[in-house]
Amino acid sequence: MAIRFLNKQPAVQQLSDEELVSKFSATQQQTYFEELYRRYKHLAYGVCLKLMKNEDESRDVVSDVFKILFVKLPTSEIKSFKAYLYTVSRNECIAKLRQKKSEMEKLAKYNHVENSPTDFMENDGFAALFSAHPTMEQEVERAVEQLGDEQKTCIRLFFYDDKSYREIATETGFTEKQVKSYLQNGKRNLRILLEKELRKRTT
Amino acid sequence: MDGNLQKQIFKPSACVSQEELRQYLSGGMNREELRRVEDHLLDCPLCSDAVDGFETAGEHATDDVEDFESFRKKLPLESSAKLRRLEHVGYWRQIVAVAAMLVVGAVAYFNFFKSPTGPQLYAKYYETYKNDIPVTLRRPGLSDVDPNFAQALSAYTDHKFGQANMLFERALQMQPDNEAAKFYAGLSLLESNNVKKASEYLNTVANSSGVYAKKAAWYLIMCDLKLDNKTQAKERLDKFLESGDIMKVEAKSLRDKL
Repeated sequence: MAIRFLNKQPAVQQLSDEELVSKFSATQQQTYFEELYRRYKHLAYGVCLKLMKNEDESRDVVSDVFKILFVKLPTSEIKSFKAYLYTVSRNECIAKLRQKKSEMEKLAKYNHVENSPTDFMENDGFAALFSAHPTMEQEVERAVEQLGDEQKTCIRLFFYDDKSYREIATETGFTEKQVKSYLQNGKRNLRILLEKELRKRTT
Repeated sequence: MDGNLQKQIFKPSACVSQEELRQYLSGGMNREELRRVEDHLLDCPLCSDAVDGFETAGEHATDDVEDFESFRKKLPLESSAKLRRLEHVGYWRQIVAVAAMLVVGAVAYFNFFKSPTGPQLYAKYYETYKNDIPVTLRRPGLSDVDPNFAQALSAYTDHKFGQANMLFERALQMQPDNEAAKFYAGLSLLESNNVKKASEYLNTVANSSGVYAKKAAWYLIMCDLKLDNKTQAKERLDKFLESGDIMKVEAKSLRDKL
């Protein structure tokens, strides 16, 4: 067996987000932070654009967000960098909107955003659970059947027939945004139903 | 229906890169790329909201964020920005804030002169060990290697350590004497912060005379560092330096630090 011993450290680009956070926290080397910045600046900016509806202000908020991360990462326990980034981005946008008295109406519109959970689906763990129970096709089918009509239709068209959001929208008459929403909620409900099933199996 | 639907629905995927975002918004993606992005958007509120934001602002906005070099110049201003914010709060708060900064400064000063902790040394010296078993040797059917072990190695290579831990466990149930499986199980557990169990596996391998013994001994030292057990790390390191000829430079350097 050919053995290569103790290979060199992987390039920064190959590290996971959490490895980058951990290494940045331990060494304070900007290279690690720079990689996180490169991976996520456009996404943070998009989130800010959605809330601020103003490009200049959004750019400022993105700067503020990464400044906060630069200071807080070394001292915070972060399980998921992108969930943390998402929360900080939203909170900074809301704080900015609050500062602007003339924007009070806009703020009221986004109060629900502040209170809503950061609902990231952690598929890594779920995929591992599934690999321990490789024969769940029937349960998946049953779970899909239990979904509401709109969610069921969209899930079937997206996952069974490989249709895009736009194609589903054309076929069903829903808007693309509705399609996305039905798929997101449908997938979340599927996950809940299947987790219950897996729990039953393991007990 | 696809036989692997369950895996297909819940497969993990990476966030949308800047280039993908640009292509997605301009409608320039092929079917496979589009599918990956749309599938990911269902799980990731960060990417989903970002796409919503850009759809409102227009595709051109994706290029609008400054690069890191420009952003970095703003970093030193952070402390002054904080001070400016203090002008708006009460005088007593300023005093409290300044006192807190002095305390933090003093703690930082003393920490600077303290010897590094085990976890700090771990961060400096630990490097993820790359899977060095050729694919041809772990393909089921071509060798007597258990398929669980092959899958575990694959998960390990992909840095999916939680999954790898589970599969290594299964592989070891099938082949309890598989030294390589014990070694990689130890590494994977160490990566997932299950240091105690990692130490158990690595200790078994280190005490054997197999091909992984010496490497396991090194990673056992890493376990001690992670647990901040510098005394034990030092003892093991002395033995490590006496008995072998690998990792000499790193081992000596670490010994000096300890």
